[in-house]
Amino acid sequence: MIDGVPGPIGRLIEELGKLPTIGPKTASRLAFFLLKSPPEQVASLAAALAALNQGIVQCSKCFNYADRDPCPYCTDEERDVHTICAIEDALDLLAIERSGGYNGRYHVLEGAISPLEGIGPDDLRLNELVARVKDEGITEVVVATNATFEGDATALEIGRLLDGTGVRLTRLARGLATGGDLEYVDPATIAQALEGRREF
Amino acid sequence: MYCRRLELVDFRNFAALELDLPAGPLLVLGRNAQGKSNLLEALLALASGRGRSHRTLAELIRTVDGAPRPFARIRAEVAASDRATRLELVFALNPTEDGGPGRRASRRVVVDGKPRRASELLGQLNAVHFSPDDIDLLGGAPAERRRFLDVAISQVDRNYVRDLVDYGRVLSQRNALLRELRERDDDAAGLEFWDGKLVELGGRIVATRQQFVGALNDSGAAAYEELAGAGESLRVEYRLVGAGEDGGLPLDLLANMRTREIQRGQTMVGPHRDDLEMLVDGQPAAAFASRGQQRLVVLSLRLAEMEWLGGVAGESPVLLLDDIFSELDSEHREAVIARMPKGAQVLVTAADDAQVPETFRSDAAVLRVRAGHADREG
Ligand SMILES: [Zn+2]
Repeated sequence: MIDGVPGPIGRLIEELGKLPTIGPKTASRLAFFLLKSPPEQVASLAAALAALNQGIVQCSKCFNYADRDPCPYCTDEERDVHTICAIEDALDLLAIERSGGYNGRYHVLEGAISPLEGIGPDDLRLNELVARVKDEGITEVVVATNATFEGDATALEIGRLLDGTGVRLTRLARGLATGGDLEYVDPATIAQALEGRREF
Repeated sequence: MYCRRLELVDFRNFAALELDLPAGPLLVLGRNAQGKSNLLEALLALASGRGRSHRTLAELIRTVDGAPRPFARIRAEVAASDRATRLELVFALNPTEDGGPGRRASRRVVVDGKPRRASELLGQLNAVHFSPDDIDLLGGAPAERRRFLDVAISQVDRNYVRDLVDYGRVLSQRNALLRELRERDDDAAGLEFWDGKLVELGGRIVATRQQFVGALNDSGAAAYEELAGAGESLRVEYRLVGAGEDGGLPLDLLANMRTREIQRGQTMVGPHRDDLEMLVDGQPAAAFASRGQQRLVVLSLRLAEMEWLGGVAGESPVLLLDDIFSELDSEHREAVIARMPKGAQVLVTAADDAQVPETFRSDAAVLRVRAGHADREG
């Protein structure tokens, strides 16, 4: 409980403060903003929050979020079932889908190697990726981690883990600006980078 | 290139200042602690993104009765041979968690009305700052000397700036990993990638620095010989910390250091640890040269920096001579002025204009600085 703040507001501030990039000050500002907002706007936000987990599950194969498990990308037989595109997070999947340049399976790594943030290979879905490559008869893994040092470090680790499996390992072409997150790159550039992907 | 207009808000002791500057020589007169040096520091900040050495960004912001103003702002118009550019550089105190002003400041850069990354300020206005504190280049910590290299090279080499930023990023990731390996009592798992990047970026940084040091040896040695006379020689050597004979930053070296680096939790070799050594007649100047010789050594380094920047950029940098004449005899004062490129914007500060050579004074416009105000004379 926060001193001098009535219970419900204090609780809201506490909950908001747990969100990434939101400190106590921003949390208070948001809470008081909501307090002064029209009741229907607050109700709509509450409903959206309440509905968030209902019917949304994480795919147990690719770790994308969808309304079913396995997700549509993992079950659609129209897609190339022998290729997996490894990405840092689910937003990258949307960016690649928008580009129209890819039609295989996905694998969300849930991050990239970053010692500064305490994220090592064991914190990512790397073992799951290796298992899928073996179990699903995958012939190519397209590593589409971000063009950052962290993304490159992750790509190298994937290469190390899959060494000797005979799978073709490719990386997006360097049309992408260094330091760029995939989700901010325009579709045409992503399509080009996919087309120009090379073995590494 | 030169700065033709300068506007300051809450920068050091200037509450507000608007100033048109001449393209050529300018004599800045005033008693001590009136703001002469601060004026030159504003131009140094435009060239390097920061103040003089040992100065934090927050210290560039004016204080009133001990309380800092929220930000300091420098605006300038720079005229180069092929372009005119409007620059804005703001140092603002970072807010603390409760919203009050913090103790650290960050930078905002605007070039021709468009917000830019701070690194894009570099190269817009080139300048060389001569100061009595330059003597610390000899006796001070290695960081002083690395800063000398970085400030000079960054003004004309975009790739170098990018490599420095990337290198800093790789270094913090690698150090974090080394600390983690120490805690886990692990071997070198995962270091490979960061080692590779460290060597790649570090190698490029060192190579660029060594080229610059080569130029220091050519024109710096010549300047020193002229200033010191009688066959005295100056030599500058780039010292790779812990590196082998062949220089560079080989992977084997990192492999050899690995156990120690993990124990210490930090990267112990690389350009962030390297140093410069200045030798007079083959002896380290920091330990063996007289005070007088040391002054001429650092003066020669600045003159070499000036010539190098002018050569690479194709036009002379702005020259900021901050109270350097009080420590020189008249012969050396004349020699320094004689080396200033014709037509360059040269700002000279002095408390007493009798210290400034007549050859400079006769052509120079005069600016008088008093308690945070500046007025043109004549
Ligand atoms: Zn799935």
